[in-house]
Amino acid sequence: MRSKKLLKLVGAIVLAVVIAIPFAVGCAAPEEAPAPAPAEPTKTLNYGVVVALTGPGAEWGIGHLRAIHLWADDVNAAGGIRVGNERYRVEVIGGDTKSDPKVAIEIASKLIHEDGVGFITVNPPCNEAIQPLLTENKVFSMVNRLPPLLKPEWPYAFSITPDGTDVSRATYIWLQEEHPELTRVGNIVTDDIFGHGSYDLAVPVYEELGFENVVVQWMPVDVLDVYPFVTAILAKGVDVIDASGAYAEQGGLVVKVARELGFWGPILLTGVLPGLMAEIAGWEKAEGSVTAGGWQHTENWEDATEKELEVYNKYIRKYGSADKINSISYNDGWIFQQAIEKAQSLDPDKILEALHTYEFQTLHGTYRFTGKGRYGIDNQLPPPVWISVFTGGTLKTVGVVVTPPEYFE
Amino acid sequence: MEFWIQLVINSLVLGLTYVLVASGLSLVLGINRIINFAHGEFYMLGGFGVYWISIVFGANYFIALLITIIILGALGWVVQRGFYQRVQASLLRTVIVSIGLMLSIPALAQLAFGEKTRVVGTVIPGSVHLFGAPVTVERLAIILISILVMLGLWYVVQRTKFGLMMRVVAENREVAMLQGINVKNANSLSMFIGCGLAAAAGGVFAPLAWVSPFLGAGILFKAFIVVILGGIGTITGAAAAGLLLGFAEVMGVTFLGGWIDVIPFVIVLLVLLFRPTGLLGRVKEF
Repeated sequence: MRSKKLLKLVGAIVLAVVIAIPFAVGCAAPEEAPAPAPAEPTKTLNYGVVVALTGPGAEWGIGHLRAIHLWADDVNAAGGIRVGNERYRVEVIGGDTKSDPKVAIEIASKLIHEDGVGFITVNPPCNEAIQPLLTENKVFSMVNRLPPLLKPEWPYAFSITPDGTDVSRATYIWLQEEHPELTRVGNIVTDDIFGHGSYDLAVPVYEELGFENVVVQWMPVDVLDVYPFVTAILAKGVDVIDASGAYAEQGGLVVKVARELGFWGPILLTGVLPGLMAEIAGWEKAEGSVTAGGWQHTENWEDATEKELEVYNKYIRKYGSADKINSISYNDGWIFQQAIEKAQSLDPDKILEALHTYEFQTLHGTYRFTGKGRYGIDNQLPPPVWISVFTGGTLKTVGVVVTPPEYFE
Repeated sequence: MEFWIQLVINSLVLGLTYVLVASGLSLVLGINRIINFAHGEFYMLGGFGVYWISIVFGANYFIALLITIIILGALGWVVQRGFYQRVQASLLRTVIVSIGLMLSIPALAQLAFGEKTRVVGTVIPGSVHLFGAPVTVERLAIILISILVMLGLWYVVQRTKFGLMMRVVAENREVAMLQGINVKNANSLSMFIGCGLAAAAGGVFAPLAWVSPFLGAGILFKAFIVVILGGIGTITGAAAAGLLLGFAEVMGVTFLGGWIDVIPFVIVLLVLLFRPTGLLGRVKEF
């Protein structure tokens, strides 16, 4: 009888020890416990990317699409976007506009009505065409450049890049400081909405800063040979060639041809992917060409932020090389994600309020949307403009021009 | 003087590129009686051929160009035998097949080569001064190669048995058959030469621009203008019209600014107004 009691006592002690050990270990070393896996998202949030994936502008569009995919990968790996008790997995749906605004409208309509998309990244020359449709359906868009888009009638259109006027203005301010003797500008522009938009934004800058707009040459989108255009411009005795309104491929050829014809002055290419441009022109001939943008080009790794480098490394891992890398659009999704999480709702009105209320993290720092004084609506993020010059076979940041706050407020 | 030399060189480069592409289109149109909408895609493939053989596999550019011309000429032969020959009795069917090829070849090229823009880059470095005007050796080489190819085409068509065979077929298919000429072979040969010419143009021009699966449509449009302008089925007419268009476009860009897209239509309208069969054409109906 006593032995039975003893056996029960020993059994109880063993059981208590077995149960207690994991708790004891857990309390003793909490930092070594595996992190709980993020809860699986239960719902899906579709994100649309309406950009050129083929034809002119494709290099740019593909870069944007890939950046959005990288953002979606990060969000989903972290358990999705949290709204109350729900978690939303992000699905990215890309559509190829072929740089045709009519095609973009069809794509946007399908994204909204069939896929239930509430957030879109869109590129020129299709930005403007789809805005009425997006506004009617309260769909948010992150647009690149072309300021007429930002206006009170289109409250859901936001921009994280400075508009073309700011980029152009910053570039010419830098040029004036570095080369005050260069005043005669010749433009080579693609004859489409993108090119015309870029050119229209640059013209007031010439007048404001005292540059002489000597000549403009309009190249067809499918131009075969840029030699005649460059020859015609150089015949006018220009000091500077501005090819910011040309696509990367054409911009690269403009540089190549201008150098072959003996022009070694600055060639401005603020609207193109510098890597592709240099590949087409040849790095040697690209020497002295100037690029500028709302974010420093990711070729400048020495100046990159920690977050930018992180995205770059993820890009390399996923796509094998830095080909077409364009980190700007990572911010598009990231900012909308932050707005949703701050609003704790997918209600467009609440998200809109959040976008106008809070500061947002980007790859390049924390910013608040502004622009009411200029556009009548606070939908523009005001980053500085980075100026880069091809020097010694690489792209070097040579200046940062900050647009004065009074321009926006 | 330097400026005018540049204009002439620019006109010759552009014009001769049009000549190469349009001659092939005109040849196929005249002999096979096929409106080959896929012709521009052979131009695009010519660029890819040169890129892959010279850049990826490291072959000499000129060898790459020659291999590209032969391979794509052979592909033209296959297209004729495999597709057009089966539907050649019906103009409508050939048009449908032709449009199908025009749409599917770029899509296949995109799958095979990717959507990325490819760069052949400068293959003949250096430049010379002609009457003080800097001209790259590469552009002079393009002019020379194009002229040699066209002379070769003239020789084949005018001075060889194959050429005679093709000319008889172009003149009258029934008479050709009665003479014992193998019309199918003549058609295949003209497709070989026609597609080879488009490939030659694409390969010759690739170092000056870039290569992508979407280059075919633009050049096809210009080639059609040249064929209509020169006269259907006449290579001499295509040569004259191609050079005329090249000169007109370059002069237009230089002196009229942004009229480059309008110039071809104005020329076509003016020529057709006074010569409905084109500059050197004789075919009134097709």
